[in-house]
Amino acid sequence: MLQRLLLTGLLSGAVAGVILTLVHLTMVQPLIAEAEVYEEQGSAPVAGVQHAHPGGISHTHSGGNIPHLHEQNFHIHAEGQAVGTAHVHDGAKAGHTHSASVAQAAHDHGAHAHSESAWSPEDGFERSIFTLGANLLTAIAFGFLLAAGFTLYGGSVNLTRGLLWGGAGFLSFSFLPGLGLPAELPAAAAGDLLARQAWWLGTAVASCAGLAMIAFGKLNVWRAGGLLLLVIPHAIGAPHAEAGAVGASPPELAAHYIMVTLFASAVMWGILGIAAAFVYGRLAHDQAATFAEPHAT
Amino acid sequence: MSEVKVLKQDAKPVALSQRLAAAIFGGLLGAFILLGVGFANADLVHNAAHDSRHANSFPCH
Repeated sequence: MLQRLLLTGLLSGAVAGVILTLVHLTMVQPLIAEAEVYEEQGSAPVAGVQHAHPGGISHTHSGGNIPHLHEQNFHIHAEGQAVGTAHVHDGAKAGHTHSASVAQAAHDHGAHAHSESAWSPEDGFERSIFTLGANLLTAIAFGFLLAAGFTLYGGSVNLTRGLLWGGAGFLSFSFLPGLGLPAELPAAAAGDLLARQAWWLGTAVASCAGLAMIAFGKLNVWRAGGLLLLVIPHAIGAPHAEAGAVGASPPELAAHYIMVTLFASAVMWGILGIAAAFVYGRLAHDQAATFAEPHAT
Repeated sequence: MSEVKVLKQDAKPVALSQRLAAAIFGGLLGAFILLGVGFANADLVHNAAHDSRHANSFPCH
C-alpha cells in the first residue's frame, strides 16, 4: 500500500518535473532574466548624490537616483522594493537639513531581503540544473500528496479521473492562492514574507479540503461547507505590499509572467494527474509482481 | 512471473486504517519536501531553488 503510494508519487513527479522544467526554461526563465536586469538597475547604489527639496531640505543619499519627496518630517520613496519605503526621520523638522551622515544611515536602499553574498548557482547550465532539481522535488512532493489523496479515496482512478485530480491540484496550489498572491517576478513589491507564506499555505490547505468536500461530500451541508472553505481565505485577504509600492519591472512583463507561470503549472498538474493515475492503476495489478519490472504482465 | 500474481491483494478492499496510515505518511512526506523546496528561508536553499520558487508562484523574497 505504502509502496504503491511512494512509487506513484516518485514516477509521476519525475515525469511532470521534467516537463515542467522544459516549459520553465523555454517560457518562464527568459522573463525572469529580463526582470533581473531591472532588479539590478533598481538596487544599484549611486553613491553620495546631494540634492535639495523645496522647503529647504537638502541631503545626500547613498541611493540618490531614487525619486522621493518630503513633507515635513515624513518621507516617501517612489521605489517599492526596499523595506521601509515610507519612513519618518526621528527628530526631523520642517526646514531641517539632513547631514550627509544621517542621510546615509537612514537611507538604506538595500533592495533584497536575502544576502547577495550567499552562494547561488552560476547563470547558465548550473542554474538550469538546480532549477530542474527544484522542479523535480516540487513535482514529486505534489505527486506524494496526490497519491495520498488516491489512497484515502480508495477506489480506482482512471486517466480521466486522474486529470480531474490534477485539475484540483492546480486550483488548490496554483490558481486559488494566485488569486490573492499572483506569481511574482524578481524585484516585485510585496508584503511581509512570512505573512505571505502563511496565507499561501493556508489557502492551499483550505482549498484542498474544500474541493474534496465538494467532490466527495454526500450531503449538501458538506458541499456548502466546502464552498465556504474555498471562499474564507479570500474573504480574509492576502497580505499585500504597502499602498503605492511598485516593483522594478514593468507591469507588462509582470502580467505576461503570471500567464506563463499559470500555464506551466497547469501543464505540470495535468501531466502529474494523468501519470499518477496511470502508475497507480498499473501497480494495482502488479502488486505481487517484482517492481524491477513494473510493466511485466 | 504471472504465477506469482495469483496473490491478488486488490481482490478485497484494503482496510481504512491501513489506507489512512499510508496516506498520512505520504502526505507528510510530500508536505516536508514541499516546505523544504518552496518555503525554507535559508539563503542557500533559497538561491538554489530561486527560479523554481518564482515559477511555481511560491511567495519569495
